[in-house]
This record gives sequence, structure tokens and C-alpha cells, in this order.
Amino acid sequence: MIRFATPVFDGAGRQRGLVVLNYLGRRLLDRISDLAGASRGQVWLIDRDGYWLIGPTPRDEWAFMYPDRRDRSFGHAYAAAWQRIAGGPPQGQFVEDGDLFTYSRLAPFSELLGKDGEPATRPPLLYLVSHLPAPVLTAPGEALAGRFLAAAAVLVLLLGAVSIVLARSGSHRRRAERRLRASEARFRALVESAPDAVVIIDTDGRIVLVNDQAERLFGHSRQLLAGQTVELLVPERYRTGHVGHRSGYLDQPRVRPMGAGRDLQGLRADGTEFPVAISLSPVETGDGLLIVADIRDVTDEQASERRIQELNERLTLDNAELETVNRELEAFSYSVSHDLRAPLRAIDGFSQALLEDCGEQLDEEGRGHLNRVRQAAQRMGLLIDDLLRLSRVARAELAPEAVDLGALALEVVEGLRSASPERAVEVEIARDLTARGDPRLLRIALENLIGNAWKFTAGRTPARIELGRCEQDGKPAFFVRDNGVGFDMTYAGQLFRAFQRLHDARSFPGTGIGLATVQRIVHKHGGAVWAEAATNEGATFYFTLESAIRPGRLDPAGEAPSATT
Amino acid sequence: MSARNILLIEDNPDDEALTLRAFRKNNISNPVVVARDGAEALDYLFATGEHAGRDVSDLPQVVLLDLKLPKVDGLEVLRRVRADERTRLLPVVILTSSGEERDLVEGYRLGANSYVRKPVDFDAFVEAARQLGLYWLLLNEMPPRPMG
Repeated sequence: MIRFATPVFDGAGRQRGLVVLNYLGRRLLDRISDLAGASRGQVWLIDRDGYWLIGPTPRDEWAFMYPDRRDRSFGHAYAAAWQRIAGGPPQGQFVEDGDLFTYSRLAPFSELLGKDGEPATRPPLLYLVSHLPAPVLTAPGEALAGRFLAAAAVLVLLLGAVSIVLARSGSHRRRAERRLRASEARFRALVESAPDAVVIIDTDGRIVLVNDQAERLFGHSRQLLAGQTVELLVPERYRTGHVGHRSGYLDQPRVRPMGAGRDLQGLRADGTEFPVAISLSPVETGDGLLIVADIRDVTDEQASERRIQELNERLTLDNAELETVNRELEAFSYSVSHDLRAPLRAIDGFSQALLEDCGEQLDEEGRGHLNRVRQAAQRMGLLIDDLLRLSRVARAELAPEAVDLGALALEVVEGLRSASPERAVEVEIARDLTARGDPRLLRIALENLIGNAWKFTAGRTPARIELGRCEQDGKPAFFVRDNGVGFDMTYAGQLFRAFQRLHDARSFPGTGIGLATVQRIVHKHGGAVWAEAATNEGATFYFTLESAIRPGRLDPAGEAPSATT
Repeated sequence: MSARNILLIEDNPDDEALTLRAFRKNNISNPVVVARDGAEALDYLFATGEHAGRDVSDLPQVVLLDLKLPKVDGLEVLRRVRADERTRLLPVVILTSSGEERDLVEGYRLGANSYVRKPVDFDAFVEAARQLGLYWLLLNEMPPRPMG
């Protein structure tokens, strides 16, 4: 039996055993035995040390395996012939001591095991030897010729068989080599195309292969790196430790990041250091275990991390500051709510008292002045109320839920109707205006939008207000449309700014905070608000809410308005 | 039976004057007792301090309570009024400038009977006073006086 063994490693890289290859040897022996047939005893297979694998008798075969038969070998029995065979050319024929020896050297495995034609280990050389002893050679006449021819024929047959086996193994080998070359090419291509620097070392820590990225990263050429220990790339102060870590890795070679939790430094050719992240993977190859180190320069990453950390710290500070400001703002608006309105009430109240108690002592102009004082005070009261509402909206925490905007709108309209029963306004509210949002904030938004529509349709007959749903960029949008006085789109940009008004206060009183409040509410919901209008042709205000529950209808008019009040 | 008192708890003299004027305009003739901070209001209600010796069972018809008050604030006054068996059922109307939601919520939570926001517009203020008087002084049936 001819055996080749190769150690096998488990996933953790421990050697778990040997794979024993005996296939080719077994077959070869069988073929030779079959073919030798009658001539057995005269065609032998001899190993590199001169022992018979197939010999004159079964007892002679594999003698090296038995301590008491160590001298049973072809080398012993035919010392002179063995010397000529072992030292001679691959094939030959000679006569020694009157015996005719024909031999052929077989080296079926050497090329498979080694690389680049260099035998990696002792190649299992075999010799096929045909032996025609002198008595046979000297036997008379035809008998001799017959024996000789028989032996020669057997040898030819044998060589043919062997060469078929060898040829087969050769084509196997060539295929294997092609595969090997292909897989090596793939491997190299993979290594080269890796985005990171790759350094491959053997178990002694010597660099076997590096890619372009590694050359660039470390500033060493691959020629210089090849064969160096990998510590060349490690700052001096870490080198001793690194050797230890390296051999520690070999005890348990598995894919893992190197130096978890530690800050790793690489050393460039110019002596500068840089932070690296390294991941290690063991790769079993024909050359033994190799360690693939994937090395990434994390200078930028660390800088970004630091930056993120700084930003986070600042954000925390900012948040704390914001919270303080919010608290102050709350206290401020609370105080405004309580304290700022009281003097206004006094101004208004005492102006009224003056008018009532001393009205006769004033002329028409004087009473007019007092009325203006009252109006100003009342207007300031409204401004304060609206500002407080805006700031409340800004500070409000969203509590989103499914909201029926139609129902909300209906309530708002009812409030407007009871506040100004003299107005006749047609209101149309589409069906299914469900959205996700904060009901209290959305009510304030609708109060402002519908309130505006109500206000700016004063004097229209009929006045019409419509609330519906449409689609904007694939998202559902809602709209409030009126047939009121509209506005010039030139000024649309100012609409949503606090205190901006597009109409004079005499015709349409207001504080100019309503739409700013609407915008604040819509933005808080992640939506947008915009308007389309033309002077005297009505206005439409659209708004989206980030997560409206149903997709909107395409037809903004809606086929079936459910509530016409 | 003579009209019972109205207890007006108000620290702002302007508001006090305007409130009294609004009552007058609405012909509300109940005597008005004014307390100018929370402590004074409690003294009056529980007959302590400068109101020692007053008959505690002689409760006002209604208390008009401002929230922002010196010393003891309005909500604390309300809390103590509701905590005391003698005044637990006393009608208390919060009459304040604030429209802050937390004041509203806290006021009702502590047992205010009503919450009225003082409007800036004096005409509206007079109207509010009228309705308050109508409801609390004429329509509302007081809880029976505790047996003393």
C-alpha cells in the first residue's frame, strides 16, 4: 500500500487528523499484479528504498514494515543491480551477474505534491523492474526465447498500463493544476481587488503576499515586504507584544477582528503611525496555513467618530440649553398670559369708564381718541392671545392619533356660524378626511384656515368654503378652498410669516399670526403648507401631514361630498 | 334674608375696580369682600388672623379667585378650601387673566366650580360679570349651611 498523508485542520485550525491517500497506489498495484499474472515473480515493483512492494514472494513484499524483515529487499538481494537502477536514468536495461534487468522509474505523485516542480516532500519514487534470471536467459533455444519474449511482453503491457494510469493521473493533475492556477488567479485577483490593504503571512509571521493597497498604505514595495516578518508594519513598541499575539492566534486561528477593544497602530515606511482596524482570517492552502490580514486605515473613521462624539456632546449641551430656554419661554408666556393682559384690561376698562362717566365733558374728537385707545388695547390683547397660541403650538408635544378632519372642520364651521349668524356660507366637506395627527393642533390649524376662508369671503354671495383631499407628489394633501378676495401670488412668500398681513386691518381684521401658527402645526407633523390664489378669485390652502392614513383621491373635488352644510 | 357676600380674591387694584364696576353695571348688589392675597383670603374664610372671631359658617355666596396672587397663590387657596370640611362645598369661580391650559386643568382638578378668563375688552368683561352674577347669585342653589 502506498500512502500519502496530509494533515487536516478543523474550523478552529487544530490538526484533527490525517487524510490518507492510497487510491493511485492501490490501483497501480492491482494493475501490475493482474498483468504480471503468470510472470509474477519476475516483474516487481520496488520503492525508493529498494523494498519490494510486489516481489518474488508475498513474504518479500512490504518488508520494511516488519522489523524482522528489514533486510528482505531488492536492494539487499541484488545490491549491484539496485545501485544501477537507483543511480541510473529513469529507464534502462542491463545485465548484472548474468541476470537481465529492465526497469522504469515511476514518479506518479511528486509533481502533484510539490509546487513549481520542486518536490515538497520526499517523492514516493517507485521502480518497475523486470528480472530475467540467468538460468532463464541461458535456457536453451525456444524456451529461452519464449520466456524472454513473455517477460518482455509483460513488461511492455505493464508499462502501457502504468502509463495509462500515469496519463490519467497526469490529466487529473493537469486539471488540478489548471484549477489550482485558476483558483490562485482568482485568489490573487480577489486580494488585489479588495478595497482594503491585504497582507498575507505564513505561520512564521513572514509576509507571503500583499496587494497594491497594502503597498500604498504602508509605503513599502511588495518586493521589500515579501519574506519580511509582519512586525515590520507594527510600531516598534508593539512588536514584542505582536509576536505573542500572533502565536496566540495560531492556537485558535479563526476569522475575527484583531485586538478587539485595543487601538491598533500601523507603521508606515516613513516612520509615521496611523490607526488601523484589522480583521484576520486563516486560509488553508497547499503551502500550509496562511493568515490573511485585512487592514483598514481608520484615521478618517476615528476623526469622524471624534467629531460625532463632539457633536453629540454639543447636542446634549444644546438640548440642555434648549430645555432651559423652553422652560424660560414657558415661564415667560405664562407670565405674559397673566400679567401683560391685565394692564390692557385696565387701559380698555378705564377708557370705557371715562367714556361712560365723563363722556359729556368730552367732545366728539375726545371720545374718538378714547375709542382708539380701547381698540388699540383690544387689538394688543388679540395679538397677545395669538402669540401665546403660536408659542403653545411650538412647544406642544405631538400626540398623534387618527383624526377625522371632516368632523373637526364641521365643529369649527358650527362655531363660526354661531359667532356670525348673519353670514350665509356654503361649506362642503369631503368624505373620509382621516389623517394621523394631533387632534388639538389640527383643530387650531383648521380654525385658522377655515376662519380665514370665512373672513375673506365676507361680502361674497354665495360665499363658498370647501375642505377636501387631493394628492401632491404621491402623498395625500388636504385643502381649504374659498371663493373670497384671494391675494396676489407675488406676496405668497410672506403669507406664513408671523405678523405678515396681505390685507388692510380695516377690511379684514387679524393679527397676522394665524397662518404662521398653521405652518408651525403642519411642520410639526412633518408636512408642508402652501397656497394658490389670485386677487379676487379666491384662495386655496393646501397642507400635507407626513403620515396621512389613507392615500388621497386624485380628484380634489371629490365625487361624493358627505357634508354640505 | 340679606344677600350674602361675594369674596373677591384679587391683588390687582385695577382689576378690582373694574370688577366692582362691572358688578355695579349689572346691578349686583351683594356686598363684596376683597382679599388682596391668598393668605388674607384664607384668614377670612377660616376666621383667622385679622378676621379672627368671624363666624366661619357665614360663607360667601361665591368666591371669585384670581390665580396669580402674592404669598399664597390661587390654586393653593383652592386646595385648602376644598380640603376643609367647612368650605369643601363653597362655590369657587376662578377669575383670571390666564388662559394657560395647565391653569385650567389644575383649577378644575382641584375642584373649581367654574373657570372664567378675564377678557381685555371691558364690554366683554361686563358681560362675563353679568353672567357670573346671574348664575352664581341668582340661579345657583347653595349647599345647605352647615349646622353650627
